[in-house]
Amino acid sequence: MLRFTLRRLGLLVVTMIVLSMVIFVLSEIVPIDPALKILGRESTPEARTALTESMGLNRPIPERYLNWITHFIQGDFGQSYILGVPIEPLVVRRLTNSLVLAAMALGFLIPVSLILGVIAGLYESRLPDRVISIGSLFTVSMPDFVMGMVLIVVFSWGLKWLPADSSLRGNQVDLTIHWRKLILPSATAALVLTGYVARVTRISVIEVMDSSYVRTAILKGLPYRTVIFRHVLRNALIAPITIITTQMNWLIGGLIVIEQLFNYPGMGSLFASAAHDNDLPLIEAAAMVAIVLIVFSQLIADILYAALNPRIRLS
Amino acid sequence: MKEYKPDPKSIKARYNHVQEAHFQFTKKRISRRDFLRFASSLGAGAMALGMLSPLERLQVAAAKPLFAQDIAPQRGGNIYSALGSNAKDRFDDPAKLQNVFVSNNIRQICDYLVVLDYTLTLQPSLATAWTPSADGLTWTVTLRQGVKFNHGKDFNADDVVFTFKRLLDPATASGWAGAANYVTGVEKVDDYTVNFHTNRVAADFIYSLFLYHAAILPADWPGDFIANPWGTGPFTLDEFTSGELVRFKRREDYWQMGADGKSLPYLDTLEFDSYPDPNAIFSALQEGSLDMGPANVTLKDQYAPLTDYNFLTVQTGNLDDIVMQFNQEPWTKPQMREAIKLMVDREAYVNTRFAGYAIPADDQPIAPGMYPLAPSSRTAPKLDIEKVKSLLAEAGYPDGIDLTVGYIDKASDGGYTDQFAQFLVGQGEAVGIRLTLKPDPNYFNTWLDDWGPNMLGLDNWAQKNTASEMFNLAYYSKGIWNESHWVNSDFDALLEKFDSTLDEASRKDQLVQLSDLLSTQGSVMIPAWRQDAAMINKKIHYNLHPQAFNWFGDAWVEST
Repeated sequence: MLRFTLRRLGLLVVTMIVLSMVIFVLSEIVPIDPALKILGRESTPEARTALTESMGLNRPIPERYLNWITHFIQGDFGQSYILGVPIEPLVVRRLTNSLVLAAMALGFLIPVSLILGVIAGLYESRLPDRVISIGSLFTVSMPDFVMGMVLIVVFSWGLKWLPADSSLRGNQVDLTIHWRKLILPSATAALVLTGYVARVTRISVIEVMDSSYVRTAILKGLPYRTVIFRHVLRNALIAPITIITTQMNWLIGGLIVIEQLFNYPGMGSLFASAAHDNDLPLIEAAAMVAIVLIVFSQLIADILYAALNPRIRLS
Repeated sequence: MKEYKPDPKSIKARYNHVQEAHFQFTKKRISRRDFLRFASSLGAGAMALGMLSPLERLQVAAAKPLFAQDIAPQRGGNIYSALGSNAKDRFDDPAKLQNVFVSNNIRQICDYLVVLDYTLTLQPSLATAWTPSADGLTWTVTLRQGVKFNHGKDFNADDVVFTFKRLLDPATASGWAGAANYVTGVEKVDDYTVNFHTNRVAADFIYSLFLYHAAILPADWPGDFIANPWGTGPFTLDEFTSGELVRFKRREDYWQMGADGKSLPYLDTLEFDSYPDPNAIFSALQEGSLDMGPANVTLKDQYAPLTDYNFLTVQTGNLDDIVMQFNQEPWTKPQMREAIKLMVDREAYVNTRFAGYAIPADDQPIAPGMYPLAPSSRTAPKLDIEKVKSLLAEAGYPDGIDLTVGYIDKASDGGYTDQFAQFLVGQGEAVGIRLTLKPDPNYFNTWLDDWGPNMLGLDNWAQKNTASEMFNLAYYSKGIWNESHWVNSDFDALLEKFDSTLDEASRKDQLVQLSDLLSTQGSVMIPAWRQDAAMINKKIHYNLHPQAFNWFGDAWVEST
């Protein structure tokens, strides 16, 4: 297992290096003049040239890449062109907010989707399965902004139970204070994934229930509950858990629409804002953070999968 | 301290000018607003008020407040606003501000020498008087005494010299140096007097002191406004969370007094939030968590259930324009420029795009009543399909013409310009002008370059402080933002004359001529001047500014 983990880690480091080069080169070839971004269209060409030189933007791309990646590894992400502030504390702050939101979403997603998927799988083609399948199809086919608007209209504008304004008014998220503000955005993110995970779980349960070792367990007289918990669930949950793990990066860094809809200051809205403003240092830093998240969530998924399924390790 | 005495000749000259303007006003050749604006621009506001009859003075006083003033302003409270604010763009150096919204962060902390209030009347602020020299090339500005910066320093002439020397220094790269390119220097006369020198007579010089870059900083300011938010304004910077929130706190020793005789501001705190999504703003208004936010005039009916808020609009001189580059084909032909101007149904444009909350315009930027000396009305051209077709044929395009339209893409401005572009496609089809849209996220990297033939550009402009500023930036042949590359020697000569004339009535006539020249011969098509709208909690007493210069020094909240 250790060897497997180390090998995966090595591969991931190489992946990150290659991707960092791609991100940097793509950002640099975009026809955007950083000096124009900083000084504005009112500035003179001379002033823009002077700033370009002082920022070292006229140096060769490999030199700039090495400079950027060295600083990035040391935790210095540079300064935002648009905000005019250091990027690293900004990213840490937004990442923390996003992790809390993702944790709340997972707190809803994991039990609900797995329970629904298992029930649908165990009651295949019967009423519970049909109800759950139709419901999950509904959530899978609904875009996140529609899902968010539905929840806002029903629970905030209509019933007035929950706030739809998740602005933190400049504060770092604190669950003891802001938990009500997080319910609708986290529920939106969770619901978008619930149908998908429930459907995967259902199929997985049906497949396992059809397997010879489950039939043997039932035929040898094991209690049904023991068969389900000891044999079915252990094997059927491999696929949904892997899927949930791989969705972590979306939950942390990809909730662009949801964060904007609820005015929640997370990584997604930071990413969107950077892209909107062509804020290259912020785009590069946010993209690298997203890649690190993706890579590590993939690693966790691989390790979990290998732990649950020893054949993966051996191969 | 050396005592400064203004040049008696200048006082006499000022009196003569103001008296002449008053004569024009009594003959109804200029409006009362123009008369007062002109006088205040010469530092003779009080002199002008003295020339008005008691009844007229009462009318001036009564016309000013938007809200009924039968309730005395109350102290305390907080306003949480998403209106015309920006917690996103950098404001680490006031000299380098890039838009009015982010300048509103500075505006709460710093003062300007003069201000244009929400009635667009010039008012003294850190400057108490200003006088042009006899040759018009030097402006002597008297400064307010007894003002302190929020870090304890006394305000004096050194601060003004420091601020404007920074603005004029090419190394600062401030937009102010371009907009007020006639200013050559600033010097201290004594502790409370400074002289500004210009290389030509600039009648509207005083308005340049209210360009948003010109916030007064102390002479010992070390740079980085976020770390050192030093100013003489009514608030101090309490907290800035990048991209999320700017929070201000009242200062106790601000120099301006409220109606209760105590220092402004009335508010304890003020917060600006950046809401990226209109639905998020609507949710926040619905919940009552947001006190004020921008509104979309086309969605006015949707705001009706928000009974705790007023839907307020304010006429502005803000405009959208179609840019035809004068040095490129086919825009060298006057028939083609006229065809573009006549192809748009401006009434339909106003009604469909702005739900009627706009005034049809006549292809020049000076909105009626929105600038000093501007006439009270202008006549917009009407859609004329037959004329457009005959103009196209006359220009050599009897079968119509294919044009490409460049503009900033949807992702960059939320689709504002794209709506304009889509409207034009329909209008063009009816007359044989076939438009291919080319949205571009980097439009403003090349907006001043030569685009080549058969190209149109779409842009939008915020209202400027004066007609002179607008014309010099965008329509003067050497203007730094002359996006249409228009060159007209008559216009240039008349603009130079307009800038150097002090006589009010003559300037008013010249302004009409400048607008007419631009309207008939210019290389831009301007379909309307729009209104801005906002949702403001009914408990809040605040007047919308036509230029979105949002200042909360005298805003207050009714406690229930």
